[in-house]
Amino acid sequence: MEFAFASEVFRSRIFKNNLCTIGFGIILFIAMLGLLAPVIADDPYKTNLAERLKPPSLEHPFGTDQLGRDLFSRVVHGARTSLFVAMTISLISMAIGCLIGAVSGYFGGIIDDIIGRIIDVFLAIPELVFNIALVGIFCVAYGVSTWNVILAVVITNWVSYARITRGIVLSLKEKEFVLCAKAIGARDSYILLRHVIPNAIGPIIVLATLNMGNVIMTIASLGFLGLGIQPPTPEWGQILNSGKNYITTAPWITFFPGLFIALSVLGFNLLGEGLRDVLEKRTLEY
Amino acid sequence: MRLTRRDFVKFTGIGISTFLGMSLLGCTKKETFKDTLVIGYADDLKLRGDPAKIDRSIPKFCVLERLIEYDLSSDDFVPSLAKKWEIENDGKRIVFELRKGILFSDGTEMDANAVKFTYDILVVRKHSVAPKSVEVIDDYTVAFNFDEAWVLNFAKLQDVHGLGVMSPKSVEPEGDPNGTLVNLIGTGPFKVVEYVENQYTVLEPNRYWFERTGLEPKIKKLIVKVIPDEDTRVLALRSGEVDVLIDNYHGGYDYTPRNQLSALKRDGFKVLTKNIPYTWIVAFNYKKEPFNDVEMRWAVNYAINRDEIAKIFDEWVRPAWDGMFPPEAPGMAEANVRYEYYLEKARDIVSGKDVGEIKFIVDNSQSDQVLVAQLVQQQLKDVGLNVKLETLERGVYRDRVRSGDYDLRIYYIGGSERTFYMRIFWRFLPPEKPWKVYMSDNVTEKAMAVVKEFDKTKRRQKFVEFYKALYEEAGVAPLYYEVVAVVEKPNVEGVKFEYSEPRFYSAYVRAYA
Repeated sequence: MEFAFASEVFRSRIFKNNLCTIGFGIILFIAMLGLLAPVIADDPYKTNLAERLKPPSLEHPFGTDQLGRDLFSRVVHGARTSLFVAMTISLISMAIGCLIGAVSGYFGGIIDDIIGRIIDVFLAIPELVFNIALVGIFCVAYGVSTWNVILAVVITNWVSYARITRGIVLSLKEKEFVLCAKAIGARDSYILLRHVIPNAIGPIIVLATLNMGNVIMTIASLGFLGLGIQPPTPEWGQILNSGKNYITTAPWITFFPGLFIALSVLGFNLLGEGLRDVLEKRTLEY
Repeated sequence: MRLTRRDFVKFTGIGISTFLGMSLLGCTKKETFKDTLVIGYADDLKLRGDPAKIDRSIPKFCVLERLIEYDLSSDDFVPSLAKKWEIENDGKRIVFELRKGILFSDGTEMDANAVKFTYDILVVRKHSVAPKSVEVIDDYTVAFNFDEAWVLNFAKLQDVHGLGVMSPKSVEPEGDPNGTLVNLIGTGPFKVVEYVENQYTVLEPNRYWFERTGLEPKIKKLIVKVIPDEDTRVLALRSGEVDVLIDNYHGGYDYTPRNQLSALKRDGFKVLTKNIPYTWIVAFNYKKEPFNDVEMRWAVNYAINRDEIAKIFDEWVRPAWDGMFPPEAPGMAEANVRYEYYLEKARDIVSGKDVGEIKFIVDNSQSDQVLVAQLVQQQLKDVGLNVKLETLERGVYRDRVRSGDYDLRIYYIGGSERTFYMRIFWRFLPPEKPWKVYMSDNVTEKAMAVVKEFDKTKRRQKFVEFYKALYEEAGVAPLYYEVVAVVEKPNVEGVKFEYSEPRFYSAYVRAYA
């Protein structure tokens, strides 16, 4: 029944919503490019100094970089890196944030006070600055790696999920179905996992979608500052950084990764906005 | 008096000519000069605290002078503050006779006590370029004693890691070699008038130096701004915040990225370069597999196309085909060694070996070297080596080098002219340290023979033998020969190189009224 309902919502609401459709289309396009990168693009690491700093052409649709590498290959392989890292961060953050937020909202009292203050502390520090500091610490301690970047961003990113989940759970725990479940003696963990979190999932999905755009921007920013994923692994922010010294002579090195960053953020934001419209309407109806 | 027609024409002509002349004078741009030259520089000059830690470039060559200098072109140590010297005790003792009448910027005279005070700063700290002891023989004669009898005793006295002669009043308590540096006073062309740690230093011409040399200072102030990040320094030049960028080339970092030189030149900036005996290399962790095998080291050498590396920098640097040092290094041209790009041979060697993943590390604060490492990684992959490139933060990079957790790394040998000899010691001679590049019985013996030889003709032959031994064992894989660079705004004139260092005593900045 639930599956049938979900598929009906997908058919009747999501694809009728223009924002959703455009956003989903953009993301699908970038994701397909990333998935098909080994088929449609060359080796992103292959250097050819004879082809150094060539402008876009049929042979190199996005031109070449300072080592003669095909930028199209680097950008589409960069899509794999950026989307993989962004999805990993979002999923881990969502899992941690939702759990902490649900526990905080459901149990209340001193647990809620402690978690609430921790969330306040995290919210008081600008997220990007915090990320830079954390990546810097991890860099010095363990060297730069993709997992260090993921860890640094997750440490700040779970907070928004926790805050939203806590707010929703606070209102849900007073609803009749939760009170009924308590009355028949259901355990707290059962109520949380079976009744509370599933009913909070709509706004969380919206948040996760919108958050993907932010995470992509954060990864690109760290890459641009030289703190993110390191060369030679292709990553949009890092390609943008490598092209900044050639902005007057080879602007395509910065243009194409910049375009893909903008497109992916736009895609996730449009999809998130669209999902919000659809899911909020659903919440109102029920 | 009647004005004739001829007079009328004459006076009118004179009037018109005068008017036109005055107008033209008014139109001509009057050339004026700015009082101040601003330098963008990567490091703090360290002009407070430990006097042995004064930064290596600007204060040492603008404020201080040394007893001797080294001229690479003739492979001679030449007089500076010292007029002449005698070698005693087989070279373990050198007695210098000082030039008379040299004044510090505070007007006091430079004498043997000032020389002893300066070098005692290094002696008490057991600095790597310190003599064993310094004795004052008379006001203008000073003797240096060393533990070893080798030519490095001269090299130490002019090396960039050491000190130039400073006044005992530079420290507190005055004249105490253990004292704290409070106001650096030297005999060089400039004196320090203001220093704000990690921000800027203001220098002014030292009138005693200019009187001595008969030159006229063309600027009133030389300001050195500290801008650690290389891209930010370039932006500061482009925005006009600084007039000149100079390299701090002592240790392979903190210099204007070579990959930006062409763009800067294209945008109207002047780029001055000078060849130095300094080579970027791939250094091997030769004490463990797979690069404890000389064949594998040759495979790397054969796999590297050095022409491609030079192309990354638009050929501002020279590819290192003709030896591990550039041909101007003593004996290098005579050694007649040549590195080849020989892919088939490299593939043959690699295919016969069971080599796993190779860890190739590079410091991520050096954008040039990150580019080079990416290219080298691809070249090595092309011959069948599975190379994992790790771009590491500087501190982590150093830790990995210290712990030996790498197979290949980008590094350098040689240096500026004055560092060339000491780097033979620091890279190829015992004791074992993280900054050593390659040591074997044969190479170490040959390198030792070089530094033990005082006669420059014999030393040249020993250099040849050392280069050949290092080549035969493929101790390093040279990549490209470095330069020292100055990038300046188009209106800056008069900056020139002396012994690999840019000098500013004749520099000036044009301005148009």
